[in-house]
Amino acid sequence: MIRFENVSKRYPGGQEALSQLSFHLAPGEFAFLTGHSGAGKSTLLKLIMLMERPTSGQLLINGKNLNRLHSSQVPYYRRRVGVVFQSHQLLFDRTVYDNVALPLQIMGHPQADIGRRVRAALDKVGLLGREQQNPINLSTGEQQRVGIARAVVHKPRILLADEPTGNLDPALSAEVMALFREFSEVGVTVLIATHDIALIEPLGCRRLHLHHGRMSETGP
Amino acid sequence: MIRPRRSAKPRGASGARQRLTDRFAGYLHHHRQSCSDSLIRLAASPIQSLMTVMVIAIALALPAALHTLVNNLGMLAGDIDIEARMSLFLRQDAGDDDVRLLLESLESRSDLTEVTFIDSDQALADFRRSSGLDDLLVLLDGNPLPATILVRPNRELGNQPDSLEKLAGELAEHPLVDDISADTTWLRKLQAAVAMGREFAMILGAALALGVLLIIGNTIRLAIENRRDEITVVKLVGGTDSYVRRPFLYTGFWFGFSGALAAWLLVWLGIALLADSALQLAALYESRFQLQGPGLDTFLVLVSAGSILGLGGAWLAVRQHANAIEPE
Ligand SMILES: Nc1ncnc2c1ncn2[C@@H]1O[C@H](COP(=O)(O)OP(=O)(O)O)[C@@H](O)[C@H]1O
Ligand SMILES: [Mg+2]
Repeated sequence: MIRFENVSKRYPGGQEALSQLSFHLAPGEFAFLTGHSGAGKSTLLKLIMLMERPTSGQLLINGKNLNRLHSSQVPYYRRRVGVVFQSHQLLFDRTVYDNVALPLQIMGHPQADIGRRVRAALDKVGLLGREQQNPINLSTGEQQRVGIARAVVHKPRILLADEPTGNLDPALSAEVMALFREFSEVGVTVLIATHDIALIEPLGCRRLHLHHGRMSETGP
Repeated sequence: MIRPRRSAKPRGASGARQRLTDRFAGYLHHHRQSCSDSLIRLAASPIQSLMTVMVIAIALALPAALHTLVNNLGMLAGDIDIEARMSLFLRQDAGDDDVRLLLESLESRSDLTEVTFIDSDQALADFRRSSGLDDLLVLLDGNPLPATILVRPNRELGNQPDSLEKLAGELAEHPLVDDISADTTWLRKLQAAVAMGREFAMILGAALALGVLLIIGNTIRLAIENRRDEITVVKLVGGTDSYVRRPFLYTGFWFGFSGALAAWLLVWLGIALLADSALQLAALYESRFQLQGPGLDTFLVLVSAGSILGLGGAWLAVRQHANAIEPE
């Protein structure tokens, strides 16, 4: 599903953030992306989201080479990926419902369909009944879960998360991780960047480890 | 490659069609939503919106008002009894029968509305009365004034100096006509002034249109800046550039449209304030001329120009600023 072939990324005026990465994630696979701060985790996820382009190497998603994707096709590609980022998450000028509905509205889903799917996604993250609240009135953990609901509401094939448990206590973190596991069980390819080794160690999942932009892998 | 007909799977085909109509419905929904959302956003900051609309309105009202005034001047020129009348001075030796024939042929012309014959005795009497030079006239040996025919061209012709002069030339050729007086200078001057006024209104309009474009562009640029977070998220979850553009284009349209409506009201107001003094002025010229407000054509031009400028200004701003916003 996600295949990196000798991918390197150098930011303008900087050193290499990622060097010669090669790995493959199969459909429905669940993996963690670990490494110290500045190791290149966010950069790797941004490459998959086409928020950055690789300096060299090939990135194949579902067999399609992203290098050959025209910029006008980028929005349609992004609709097949769900993403949970730390920054620019929720919009506080609208309700929880409208936040979660955004990807579906962009894709032009019928209104009735949107209502059904949004409630299903909110139910999944345990926030059913909070649709009409403003996310600013929710706790950090709840906001994080609204973000997850928005990332999965359109049933993407790939789910990416960048430090999704950064602000959460251990109990909530474990809950969120369990939620991601559920998605992979229904066939979504999940890749989660985190530096919280203590949290993921007991889960025994596949681990892609970055160290100064180079990858080493630890199997389950 | 020729695709085989999928007659075996009618449900699949109808399903695809359903999805397409769904998408179109979603597209229309976003148009409706952007249209009303942008209005609601304008209403949410009424003072600021009103100020922008008034600036646009004044910029649009200036050329529209000038255009309306110039139009009125043009109508005035047609209305006042300007000396489009012509005097045909007849030869002293013109015989009565020939003169009668000439009068008949003139009266039968469709381009003349009034034909008056003044014989030389009456011309002298008129002159005596209006000049008061009685004493001087008795010194004259006989009557030096020729018989005269006064003609008035019809209204259509009366506004066209070229046609008037052509007509004068034609009438002067008649053997009985010694000389003809047809003064079109005044008319030419007035018409030149009206034409210049029209041109000036156009130039002013073009310059101020550019101003409106920039005002709306800048307003939309600020709106984009205010919604940077939203644009970032929309692009991250797969919003196309045109999806991002849409609400701002509607905002620009509403600014231009409402600015044009307000401009039209301003012009009406201005004309209404001038109407009384115009009436007095017209009375001096013995005219029943009334100042006309901006017509339907002006209204349509204003509203479409305002809307197009609004869309255009927003489009420029969106192209430059919203397209550049990328999630990072
Ligand atoms: N936009 C950018 N411009 C220049 N350098 C960047 C940019 N983003 C990240 N970097 C650099 O790339 C390296 C990897 O960063 P990042 O992918 O954010 O690491 P992580 O998410 O693992 O902390 C760091 O050295 C960082 O300074
Ligand atoms: Mg990071």
